[in-house]
Amino acid sequence: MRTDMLRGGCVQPIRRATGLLPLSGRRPLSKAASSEPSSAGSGENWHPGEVQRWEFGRRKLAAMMGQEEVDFTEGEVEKALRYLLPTRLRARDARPLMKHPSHVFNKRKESAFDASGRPLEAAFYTGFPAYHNLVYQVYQMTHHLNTLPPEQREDREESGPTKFWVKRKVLANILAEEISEFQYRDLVSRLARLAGHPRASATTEFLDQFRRPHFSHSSSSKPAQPNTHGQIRSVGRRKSSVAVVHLGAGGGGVTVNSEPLLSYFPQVEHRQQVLFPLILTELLGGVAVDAQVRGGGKTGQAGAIRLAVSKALTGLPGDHHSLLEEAGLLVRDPRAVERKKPGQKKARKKFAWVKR
Amino acid sequence: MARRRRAERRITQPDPRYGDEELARFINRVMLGGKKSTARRAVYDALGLLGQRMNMNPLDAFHQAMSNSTPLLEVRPRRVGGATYQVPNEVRPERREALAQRWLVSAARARKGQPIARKLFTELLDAANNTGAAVRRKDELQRMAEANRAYAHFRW
Repeated sequence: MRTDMLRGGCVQPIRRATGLLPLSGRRPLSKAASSEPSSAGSGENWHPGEVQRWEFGRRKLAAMMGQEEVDFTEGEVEKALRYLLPTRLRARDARPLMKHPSHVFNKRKESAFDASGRPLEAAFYTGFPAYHNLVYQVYQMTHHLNTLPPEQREDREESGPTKFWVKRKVLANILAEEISEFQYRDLVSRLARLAGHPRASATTEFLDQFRRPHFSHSSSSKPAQPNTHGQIRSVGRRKSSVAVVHLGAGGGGVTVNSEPLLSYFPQVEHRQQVLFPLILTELLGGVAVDAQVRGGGKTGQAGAIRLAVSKALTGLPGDHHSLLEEAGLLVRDPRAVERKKPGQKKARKKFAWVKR
Repeated sequence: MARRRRAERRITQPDPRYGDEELARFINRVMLGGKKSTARRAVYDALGLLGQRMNMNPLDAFHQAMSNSTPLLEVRPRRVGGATYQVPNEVRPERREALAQRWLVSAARARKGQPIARKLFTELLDAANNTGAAVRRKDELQRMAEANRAYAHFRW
């Protein structure tokens, strides 16, 4: 992966900022102050020079792709990389990468010292000034709310779509400081207590800094619209079986690999699997199902078809998604045959144990 | 025996024909080598015969057999002051079901010379009538518990 040729902001491996640069014309600094690189106060959060390298690489790429530098956005950079360095590697970290330093490096603190070598933060010597400051901030806000003149009307935060507290790593990035698991849990509980306060509505903006909306993975792209024949096509997989289902309007006929349902799945349990999503959404006689399935065994195929049908049903008018989601029908069962390990007879079975 | 954490209890899918979870678990116990379809067939056949013979809903008959084989108390060994006593103790609901089913299946298997469906049928029939090897196992266990009643104060 010779993206170093581009000399852009490529980052494998991530380099550490080294640091001792000569001081000139300043007061003697404390040990802590002197360990900071002199560029730390320059307002550039990321490792010095990374942004320039990124820029250089971006311009080079634009030239290579025959596009104007000005229009060459980060998105264009990604597309160019995919074109120039196609890969079939599946691990994201193994793929060629070129991103703006802001996406790659964690925020670094601006210089913590003023011109005279004294620390800016009161809490500097705790080692975790950002953490302590945040704790105090939350305390102040809570205290303020608690000491307001009593009023009848409650003033809670608006309840809207569920939002979750940010994760520990993300919080650490926001604060530009390392946060331990203990500190994280503590902060979350304090924030949660503030958020639950009956007069908390004014704090929403502050608290939202530390919240993220619920990210729904399942069918993050709403299922495809019907194709030219008015059918909805969807794919379901289960344990080596892959099913492609076309859902169309019409009587409740179900076909699997050009065979009627009854004949392809002699076992009741399999037929039940296939029909379950239709029963739940009460669409049983209203749609025509045509499935092609390959791989695995009968039971796995039934499961695959079930998933495909469920996915397809979400594309129909009416909110079936929540119902199906509740029933767990939209989840692809990840269970698959476990691999056999060396030094063992099978995936789990070990060789006979000998004491000596 | 989970060494680290508590090992979550999995929920079984209810049985496709009668919609009963307990029955589904029973079928799983009867199953050998992952051959669910064979196990299902055997149990359903047995249930069919059972319902016919007893003139009641097969599911009810099954539950009857189960409850007659279900132990309420058992003995568990415990060391106190150098000696090991058999201390009587209540049986947890999950364990109750597990034991009853285990005994039923093992008793059925132990019978001679008949297809498993038939063996299950006869064993369940007996159990519903409070006879049969499985029920005897349960009675023995409860007798032991009563016998060692003196140590009941050691229960844990």
